[in-house]
Amino acid sequence: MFDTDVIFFCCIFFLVQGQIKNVVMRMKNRSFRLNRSKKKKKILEKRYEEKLENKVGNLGIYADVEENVKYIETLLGKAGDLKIRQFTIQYKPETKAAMLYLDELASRDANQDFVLRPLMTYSGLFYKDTKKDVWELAYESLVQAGELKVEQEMKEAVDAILRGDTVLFINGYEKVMVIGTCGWKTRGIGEPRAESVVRGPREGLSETLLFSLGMIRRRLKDPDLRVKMYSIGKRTKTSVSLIYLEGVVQPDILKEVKNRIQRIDIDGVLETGYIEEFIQDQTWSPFPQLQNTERPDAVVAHLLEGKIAILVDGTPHALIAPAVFTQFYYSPEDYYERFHIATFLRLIRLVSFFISLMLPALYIAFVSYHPEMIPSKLQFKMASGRATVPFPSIIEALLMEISVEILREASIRLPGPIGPTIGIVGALVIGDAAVSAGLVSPAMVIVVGLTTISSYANPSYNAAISVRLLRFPLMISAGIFGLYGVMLGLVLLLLHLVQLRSMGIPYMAPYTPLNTSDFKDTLVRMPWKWMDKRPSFFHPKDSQRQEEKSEAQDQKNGGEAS
Amino acid sequence: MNKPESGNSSQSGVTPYESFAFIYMSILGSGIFFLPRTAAEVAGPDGFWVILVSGFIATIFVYCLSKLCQRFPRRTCISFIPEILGPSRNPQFGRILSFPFFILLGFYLLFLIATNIRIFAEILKIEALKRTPIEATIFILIFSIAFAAKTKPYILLKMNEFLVPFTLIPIVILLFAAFQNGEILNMLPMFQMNLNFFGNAIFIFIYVFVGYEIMLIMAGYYQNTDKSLKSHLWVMPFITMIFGITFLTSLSVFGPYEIVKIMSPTLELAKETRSPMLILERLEAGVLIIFLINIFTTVANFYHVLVRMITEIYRFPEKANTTITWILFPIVYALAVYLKNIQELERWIDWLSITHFIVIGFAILCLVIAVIRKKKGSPAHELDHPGKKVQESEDVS
Repeated sequence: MFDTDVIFFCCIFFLVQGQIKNVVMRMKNRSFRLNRSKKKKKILEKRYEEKLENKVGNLGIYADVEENVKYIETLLGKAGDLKIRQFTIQYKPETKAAMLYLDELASRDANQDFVLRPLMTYSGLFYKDTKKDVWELAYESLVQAGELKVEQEMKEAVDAILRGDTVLFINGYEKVMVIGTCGWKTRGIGEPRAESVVRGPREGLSETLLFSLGMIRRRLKDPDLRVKMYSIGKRTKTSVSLIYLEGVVQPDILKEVKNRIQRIDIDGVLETGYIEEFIQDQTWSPFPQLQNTERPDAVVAHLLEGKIAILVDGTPHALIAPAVFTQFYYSPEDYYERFHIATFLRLIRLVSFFISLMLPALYIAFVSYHPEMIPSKLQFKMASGRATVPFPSIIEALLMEISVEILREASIRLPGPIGPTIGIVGALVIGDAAVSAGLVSPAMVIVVGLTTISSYANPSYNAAISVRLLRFPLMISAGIFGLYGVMLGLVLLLLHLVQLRSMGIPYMAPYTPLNTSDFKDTLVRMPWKWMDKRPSFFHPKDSQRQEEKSEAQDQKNGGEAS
Repeated sequence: MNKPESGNSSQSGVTPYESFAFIYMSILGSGIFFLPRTAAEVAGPDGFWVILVSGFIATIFVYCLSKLCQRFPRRTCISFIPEILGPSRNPQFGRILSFPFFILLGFYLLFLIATNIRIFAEILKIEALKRTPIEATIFILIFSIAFAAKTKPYILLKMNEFLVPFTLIPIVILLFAAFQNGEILNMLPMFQMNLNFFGNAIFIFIYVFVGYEIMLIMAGYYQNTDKSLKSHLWVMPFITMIFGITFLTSLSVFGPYEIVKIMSPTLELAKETRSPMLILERLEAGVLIIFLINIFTTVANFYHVLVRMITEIYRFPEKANTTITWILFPIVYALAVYLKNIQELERWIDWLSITHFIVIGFAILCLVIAVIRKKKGSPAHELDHPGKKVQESEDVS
């Protein structure tokens, strides 16, 4: 009796205790979750500071090599890719030294041939009789590298290792030699995939910032070309460079871009997209306010117009700021091919822009609200095609559009050779089957096909995405109010576009504010001979592209600018 | 991220073309639907001369109003009319004197907005959206317009500027119809009109040009007042030409007897335009939708000016504009749906045309007084927010 009672109470006690514990734990968890975002940020910051400020902070270099090596090894958590080579410099007196670098970030060949070999072998062979200081000798003659710096602080040494440089400690000296040996494997220079042209350079920017810079420099041999380097991202420490032409770019715009870049405070930057979202004028706009390009020639052309390019290490996409609406519909090829075809192609792009934006909406409006506007012969055909379709036209259009979007998304993810096949199977087989099954009308298939193809006629992908998104609200408003809804949608869209700015430049320039002198490079692309001025809406300091009006000069400048 | 302050001063400045577009789009409202009928009703085939002469008279009005605004650069009528009327020692008295005018102007704008929207909604119901309730179309229209009305002046001006070329599309279609179906005989005989009737016709017809009064407020936001106001004068010949074309094309197709029986000859004419080259059949819904641009900008301009006026009279901060826009929204909606039918709407229009003369007359009177009393505004102030301006000018006086 007594035993069972005790056991019973004990059981209850434990159960209750367990429950209380659970509750307490849950409450703890909840409070933790509430403050999580704040706390997390704080913790991250704290840890980072601990690591680099408190631990390394103002710490100088030890005189003892062993101690330096040990310190860095512990700091990096005995990383597997940290290569430590301790050796002796064959010089009187024999001196201990250590070389540290990260494998595959620093060039192994350079380290062996131009750092290790001279220090280990040549020092003993050629410099036996000189009575120079070891450090000085190493700095002046032995270490054979173009980029060589001496630092006094441990922080600099750690940074250098993480950057891909090699550091060299010599026993007895409280300083470190930082040898520029960055040399990682890169993808070869390839053709830009999203912006291929028939005529024009085939090379695209590289993932390595310096290669990209080189490509731009090669095309623009102007001493006024300025490159400002920033390091953004507390943890990634990504190199970001700001490129512009001094004397061409408007200083106010430059200042604004610099300010906005310096204000970025994030732990990592992996692509220019991060920077774009941080520095754009309006976050909620569906329209891209900065252009991106993979083409070095396009970057140079934009620089010459007084714009600013932003390159980020690790991605081949350069950002162009500021950007106006029309420039997303220009291809670099417009300037390389003859101006007739460029003008014609721009017209085609304008038409395709409207088709991809409005065609489904117009279809819905015509079919459900204004059938009298469809030519009567076609109307009969369309009515007979729609006779079996059980849905209203808005549902029909939405279904088709969404399935096309799914096809699009799927064909990107599918492995290379299958992608196009699925596209064809999806478009042809499913489309045809859907029509014969009476799910959609044949006209709808044409509309959807045209819309999708038209959206690919746009030279820049990010502008095409915005149109792709805006199509759906327009379709819905067409479903509710017919053409009236479409028009109201368009006017509101225009209102948005008109108030949009990119780095302070009106987005709809040069149409509004209207400036007829800039019309030479809009819908119509004039011959280079006559495009003697840079676009005035970017307010370039030097507005002239061509100084003198002589024929020879014109042609020369035209050739250079393209 | 903060809003950019970069760029340059020319961005916020109003170009002469922008002010041209603003006045042009404000005049070109719902009047264009009835214009050929009104002209034919009052003058038969001589309507064209009525359009020309009333266009000329309207030009004189525009000139006077522009002169008045020019005397007080970068200030709106809310700030300068009290100064003109009141004694310089007691500015409060001037404010009291001019207050009835401001109230009249406010209600005038409010009713103009409501009638414009109602006219469009009625025609939309007849021609395009037959089964959609008129309350819904009116609601969505005012709702969209409110977004345009609450923006900053320069954004609205830019929108006007961008849309000007699109208003010419219907004109091209009308011309096409006239070439297809028009007959010169329909336009004759001319010069049959009695001079007494002529004067009366002009008095009725001049209401079609309504809309330029809002420059009294909007001119305060122009940077280069002289140039902008000159461009106002260019609007009048241009718009007279458009009205003339609209009338002549309608007249040539329908003739003076048929035209008065059609509710909206302009749209009826679009119905007549048929060609396999145009891809679409029966263009009237399409043309009507393009006319939506006119209505949208006209009403947005009126609405915007009304909001600015209220903000300035009560010296609200700049932020209040959005609130006032949404407060006015139900009032405008109620006014627009209040009327039972088009007959009542026409009675409103009669009242509005009389008010229009009072407003213009008062403004011209102000100009005369300003000239006599040699009142001129100081252009030195930077106008960011007109409410600030009033205080400053009062401090000076």
